[in-house]
Amino acid sequence: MATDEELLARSDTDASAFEPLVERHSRALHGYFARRAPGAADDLLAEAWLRAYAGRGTYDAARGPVRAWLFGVARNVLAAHWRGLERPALGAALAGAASSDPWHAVDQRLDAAAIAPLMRRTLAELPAVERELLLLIAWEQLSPTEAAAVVGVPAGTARSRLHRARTRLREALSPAIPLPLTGDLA
Amino acid sequence: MTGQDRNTNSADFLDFPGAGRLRAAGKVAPPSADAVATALAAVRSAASQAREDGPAVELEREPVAAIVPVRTWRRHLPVLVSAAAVVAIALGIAFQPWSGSENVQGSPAAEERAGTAPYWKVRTLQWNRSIDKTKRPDETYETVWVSRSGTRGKPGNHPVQDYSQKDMGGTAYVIGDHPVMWDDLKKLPTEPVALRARLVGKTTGESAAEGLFDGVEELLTRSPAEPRLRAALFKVLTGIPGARVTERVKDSTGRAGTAVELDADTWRRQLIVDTRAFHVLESRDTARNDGLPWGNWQLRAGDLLHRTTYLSMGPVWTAPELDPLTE
Repeated sequence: MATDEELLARSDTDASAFEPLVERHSRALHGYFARRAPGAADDLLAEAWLRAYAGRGTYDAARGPVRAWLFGVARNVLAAHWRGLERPALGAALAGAASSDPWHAVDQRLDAAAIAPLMRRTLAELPAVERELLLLIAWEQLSPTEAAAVVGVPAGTARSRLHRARTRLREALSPAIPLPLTGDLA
Repeated sequence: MTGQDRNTNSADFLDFPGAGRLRAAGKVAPPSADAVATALAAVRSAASQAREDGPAVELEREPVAAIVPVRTWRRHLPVLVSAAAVVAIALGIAFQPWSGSENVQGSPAAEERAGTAPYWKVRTLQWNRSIDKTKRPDETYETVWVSRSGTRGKPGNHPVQDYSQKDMGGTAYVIGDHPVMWDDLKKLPTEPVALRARLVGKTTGESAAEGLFDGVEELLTRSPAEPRLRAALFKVLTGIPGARVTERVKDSTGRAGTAVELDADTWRRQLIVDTRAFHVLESRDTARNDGLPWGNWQLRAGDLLHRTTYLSMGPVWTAPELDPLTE
């Protein structure tokens, strides 16, 4: 079976070679959208594939696998979606500062899944990039290197940020453990 | 990156209390077969559209005009359409290579013809220049569902709203001062001269031309017009005095179509049309000359003021209910 990279390269001259990519990765991309923009996932999926097809010549294998590149395309489509939704809601005064972070939708999902308020609060307090990297590996099952390619940061940077996020979550969520008493004080 | 690397690394970073529940909270249902089919259709249409840049064929047996990058399109010149469109027109089927036609279980393909489904769904991305230089342009997604009796719309993340024109007794497309009802669509002539006469009578002048331009955009985007009618509407559009036609113009998403431009007052109106299905890909309004004031802007000729990108359109069998608070 041809690899994603082979199919994408072949699609430059044979458009039908692109179709297996749609079949392989639609479930993952749709899940990405469904978690972050429920209600618009179907439309965003079609849009992401349209943009991926139009931009297939921009794929650079040196920057990561096709799968990560596709999530990068999906991330841009999602950001445009949220920018489009937020600006009217925020009003003209905030128009220049609209965020494309889908945290509100994600938090609603966590609330519906009865995730503890403390974890939700800790996630909310993480820098957006750290939170995004964490969710990409937790939900999209991307490797840290792939998640780095999606977000557009070097792999080493992604790892250090993931370490930091994990440390914060451990500190916030671990029950207080009494220090063990050893030696003369035992 | 091997699967083992992936799991080992990811598991390492997900080693904190509650990580299992966090992962579980991300579980979602797989996409419907329709959603994947629509995505696949979008890709196929983009691929076929690229191929479509090949040879064109005449719709009518008239003297062939040389295809040049920009030209003034006059009445009685041939409309050049793709072979695929001619086949579609000949077969009488709705040819929607890039649109989001939604199937419903049990509905035979033949019933998906544009004139049969109860709703016409259009999804757009609208771009508007702010009147304040310091602010970014406004971009809004919108989906509308047009039916015989009215229109529902969902702008951005707002609830589904009723856009119906209450005083028209049903869906009407207004061309200048002449309304065309949803039920009239199948009765409209498909011969361009007769169609123009039906739409605007003998009215002439700049405002009539602009009204016709707007009306044709409305019919091509928000009505379930059949392919023959679409072809005739396109010919009416290109026959508007002063209209200019440019082949192979790309819209903001990279799709190629035929641009029809009309100068109107201080604006330049442009529609980019997919001439296989006669679907509008994008409409743009730009400044016609340097120095046009717009809020605290001084625009230059060609500066964009408004753009509507038609991301998908097609017949569907269902539409969302109105939000009770907006009824």
